[in-house]
Amino acid sequence: MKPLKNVVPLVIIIAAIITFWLKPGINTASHKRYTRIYENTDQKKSVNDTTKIIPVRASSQVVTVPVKKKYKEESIDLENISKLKSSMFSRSVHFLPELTDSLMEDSVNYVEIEMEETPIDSTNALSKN
Amino acid sequence: MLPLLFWIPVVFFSLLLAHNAMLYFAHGGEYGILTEKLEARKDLLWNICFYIHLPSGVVCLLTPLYSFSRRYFKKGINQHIIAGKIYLWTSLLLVCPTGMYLALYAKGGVAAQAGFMAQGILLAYFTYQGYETIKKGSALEHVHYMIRSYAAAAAVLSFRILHILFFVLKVPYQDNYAISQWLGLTLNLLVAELIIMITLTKNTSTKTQSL
Repeated sequence: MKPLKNVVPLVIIIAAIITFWLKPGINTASHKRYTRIYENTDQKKSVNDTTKIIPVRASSQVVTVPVKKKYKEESIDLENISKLKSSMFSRSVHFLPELTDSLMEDSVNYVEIEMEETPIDSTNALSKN
Repeated sequence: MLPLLFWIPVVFFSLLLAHNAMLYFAHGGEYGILTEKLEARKDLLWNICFYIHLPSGVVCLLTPLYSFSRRYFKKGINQHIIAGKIYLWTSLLLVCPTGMYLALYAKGGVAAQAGFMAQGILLAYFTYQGYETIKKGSALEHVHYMIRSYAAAAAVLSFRILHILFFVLKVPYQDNYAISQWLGLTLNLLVAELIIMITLTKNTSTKTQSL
């Protein structure tokens, strides 16, 4: 393949795409605002132990629907395009800023309870009754 | 100096894309484009193709960086052959078929889907031709076809750069996707042809000088 033979049609195709399809200044977006919502994807589904059968009355059954936690919501306003942050285009930073906050909310507080060993006086308890 | 000005951004964007692709495995589930692919995710084959395409695409994007830098490692012909074979078989057996299947579900309409399909076909064709020419012993033709092949593979980089650029230029979202794909592919092929042309004229001028 001779390179010049390939260059000419490619230049024609590129020029055609720009002038007829891209149409700079003419083919502009009609919508003014884009919003992207980032959700928590790290939450793992809890697996129920199917081997255990727990009798539950129908009236007391509560169906819990897991609610997805929103990490953040970012909007780009095309009117203020100069305020666009570069982080909007980086996938690596999507989860970082709010991750610590959500983890703080989700964290389980473990409280140590000191158990004092006190002998149970069964005879006294029975005698009272 | 000029090759460095070309390669530094190429290496940077290749590594950035590789990093972003690997995040799909780190986060799993609903991440990146997956949130938009509700219909496609119902298709098991699409899921298989997607998770094969990500790592193999990274290999396909990064191995040529080593292969093209062979002139800096004069004795590294064996490594060049190994890297070339990895690139060849990864492209032909994994990247192109999976990419073409993923193209069927690409957003941006038929135009964008055809663009991704064309990229897959061109990548497979140029890579195979590069392999055939070196088997016949034609090193120059091999280099030319591999430059074209890498141009088709690296269209993923120019696609993303143009996509952001056109977004800032307020191009409608659906049009933006298709235009970025076609323009990215054709611009890369044009740059490849120009590089081939420049290297050919350099070679002929040095030959005439030696005569």
